[in-house]
Amino acid sequence: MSTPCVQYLPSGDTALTVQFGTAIDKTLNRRIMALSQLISAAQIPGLLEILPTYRSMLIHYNPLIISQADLISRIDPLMDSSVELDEEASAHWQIPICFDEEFAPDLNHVAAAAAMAADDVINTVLHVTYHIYMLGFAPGQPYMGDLPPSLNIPRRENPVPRIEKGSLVTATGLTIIYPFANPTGWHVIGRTPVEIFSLQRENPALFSPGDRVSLTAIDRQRFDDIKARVMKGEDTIDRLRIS
Amino acid sequence: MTSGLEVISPGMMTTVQDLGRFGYQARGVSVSGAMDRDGLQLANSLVGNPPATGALEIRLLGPGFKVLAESVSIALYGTSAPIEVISPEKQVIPAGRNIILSRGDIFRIGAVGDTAACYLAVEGGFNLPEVYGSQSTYLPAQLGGFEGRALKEGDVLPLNLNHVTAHRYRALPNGPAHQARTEDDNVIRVIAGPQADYFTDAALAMLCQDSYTVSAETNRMGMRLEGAQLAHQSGFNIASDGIVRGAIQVPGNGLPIILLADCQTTGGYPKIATVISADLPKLGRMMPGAEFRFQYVSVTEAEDLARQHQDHLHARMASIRSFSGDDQELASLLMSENLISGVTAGD
Repeated sequence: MSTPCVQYLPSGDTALTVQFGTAIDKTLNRRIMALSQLISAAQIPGLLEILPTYRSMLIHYNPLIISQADLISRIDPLMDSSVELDEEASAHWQIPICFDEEFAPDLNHVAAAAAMAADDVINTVLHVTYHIYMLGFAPGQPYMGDLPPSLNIPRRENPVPRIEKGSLVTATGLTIIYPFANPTGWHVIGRTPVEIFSLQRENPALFSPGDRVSLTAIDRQRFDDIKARVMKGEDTIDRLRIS
Repeated sequence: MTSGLEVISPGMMTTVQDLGRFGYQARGVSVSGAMDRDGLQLANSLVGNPPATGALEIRLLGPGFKVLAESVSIALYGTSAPIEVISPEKQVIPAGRNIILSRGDIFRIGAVGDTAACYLAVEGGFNLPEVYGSQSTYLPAQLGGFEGRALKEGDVLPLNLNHVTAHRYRALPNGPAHQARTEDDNVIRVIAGPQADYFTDAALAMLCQDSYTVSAETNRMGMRLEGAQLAHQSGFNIASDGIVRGAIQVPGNGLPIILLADCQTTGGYPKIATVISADLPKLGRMMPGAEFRFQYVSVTEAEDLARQHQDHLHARMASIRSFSGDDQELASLLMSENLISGVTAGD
């Protein structure tokens, strides 16, 4: 396996960006996840947490315990490792999505942009096993891919100030599920009734980077039923986990 | 019987903060925590709390409370605004020392005009649930702290203690309250990058050339600056990568934004430089209208400065004078500025 070219970029004196590339690439991202696991296992004193993103990892550390130069010297030898992502360590989730018109205001726009029928867009979206590249923007918010090239459409020209919690959005060949109502520059094509971030749980964020996600279609009635259970605190996430 | 502080007036933006929420940034969970981490730790030390205990961060206008506990020890740190005891007897207690109050007492902190953030600590801290191990409030997602939000009139902030553990009085020598001003105050030191290559050489030089001014568009998420625009050379979008507090993002309009306590964990704008950790508390205290210059330093210099900063903080904490006594008037007399100032050794 060829060693990707790694750049060490200081992010101040308490964080180090380890950059593997500049574009979004699933193979690269999986390698980043695998290296994150390897570095975590090395138990380097002073290392606080590792944040994997599309094409880099940000290592947060305590400069009073380890200098940036020492950190680099400890992790650099690990970069050559031909390590595979430990699939056992990541989960595979199945998330129900309702594509009701009320929840999918941008479905027709996406269909037009992709030159597909709306039903075909839905089917395509349902047939991908998504890889979570990273979580960001809001607590527990996953960036997932990859959709086929036909669905690689640009973001909105103008962002909208607010979309509802649970919204499924797409742009640039990726999808996101919104754990909180927030602005978006992406297209809204569905909604889930489950809470992907919930303070009722000891571990509020459902997803971890590197997890896999499959989406299943539910009708409006089922959406309302699940939502009612969620509101009553009867939401169990165990049934969402495939493996 | 539950012990608490009833909010008589909420102040402008009063939130529970500790030193932040670590370990879950990979799940998109922001760090949050005190804008001035030094101030929080000093306030806690004045009431005998572990330095990282949850305390109240006060911005612009302070809150007023009624004591719903047998007794409480409270201390304000980081401003020249005092604690004003309203009833049963009027008292004015400067920041930088604690005071012990009893059930029914009413106190408030008024307008805070000299800092963007100061801290009110209560002995024993707050009986509030933690989210991912921290009591810090993350306002954008309404999580943590007191119901994920700033305090409102009528709230009762639950306390862990119903009475003070001892009649102990503490004060920082040299009185107050806010950090001694030094000639470094209007310099913010930065390390270049991580996306220095997204900017022209002229822009990289420009960052440190003229002063920038803190705009009114400044909050716990970020500080927008007014001043020289910085030219990109590779566009102003990057595939989102990780962000650390102090990162200086430059969006399309060329005006830098310094990311602060409630910043998101990832972002898609290029980052020209990052404020060093030693200068983050100073940055957290800066108010709209403040003018400063950036100055580049190396990683090694920043690490030395971080160590010096920590030593200085510990020295201040160690310098706190303390004694036990039941006579609050005597305590007031002994703790007054006149008698204990001027004894410091360079803190």
